[in-house]
Amino acid sequence: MPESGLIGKELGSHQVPVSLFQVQFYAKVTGQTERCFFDEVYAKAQGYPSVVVPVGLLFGLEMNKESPYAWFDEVDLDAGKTLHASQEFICHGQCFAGDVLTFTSRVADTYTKKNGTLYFLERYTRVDNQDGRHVADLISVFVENRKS
Amino acid sequence: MPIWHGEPFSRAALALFAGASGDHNPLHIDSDYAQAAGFDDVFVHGMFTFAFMQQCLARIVRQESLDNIKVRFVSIMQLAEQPVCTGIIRQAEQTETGLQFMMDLNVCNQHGVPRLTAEARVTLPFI
Repeated sequence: MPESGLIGKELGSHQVPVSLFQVQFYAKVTGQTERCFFDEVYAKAQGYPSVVVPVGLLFGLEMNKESPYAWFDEVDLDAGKTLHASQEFICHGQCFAGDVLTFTSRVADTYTKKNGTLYFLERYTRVDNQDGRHVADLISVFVENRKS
Repeated sequence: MPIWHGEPFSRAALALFAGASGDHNPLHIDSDYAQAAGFDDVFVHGMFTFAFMQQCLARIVRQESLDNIKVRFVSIMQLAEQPVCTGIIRQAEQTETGLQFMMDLNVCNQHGVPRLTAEARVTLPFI
């Protein structure tokens, strides 16, 4: 498989400042009821520096850059045929509004299923905060439908 | 665990989720693009369904207790479907630092068709 040559390919590193507005907006749109996710006064009273980033938002925050889908071209995924197959978050610490997160990713694996009609690409991303603390790992699996 | 029911996913909600999450994939917000790609219409971001599940989980455990969560998007949540989240504690054990729980969660549509399945590990530290 030509794609196996992609395993280990570095996809780069970028920094994302996390705004209070984005965390609160995300919490509102997704109906979060845990006040630490949107009420800054409450979150601070709980001992947090600001509102807590719901872990699922890390996936979107990683896309907070110029041309977030440019890497699809680098690994030859067709955006119109590619879906999010699975997602894992390994949590080592919490993230907060006001943090500046560094996302560093690479291709962790590629494989096919169903006689090659489904092509999977697994991306591993490490997330560090502005203090150099390793706060999370994201394992994102994308599937491209290759049925003609 | 209780059974939680969410609001049906509207087109407006998908657009707002795209803006709020930063995932602007046109498959979820542009019907013309989705149809050209072979889909009937726009459909729900997997991570939007995830966010609903997280909202349910956050009602019973604080996020800082969450060690790990792994979800599989087993089928596409369609526009106007209503998410229903359920879960069970599969295993509980005492570790050196606290009580560790393995949970299985899933989100179905209103007809009981699974859209997302998840495994989560939560550790509640000893006081």
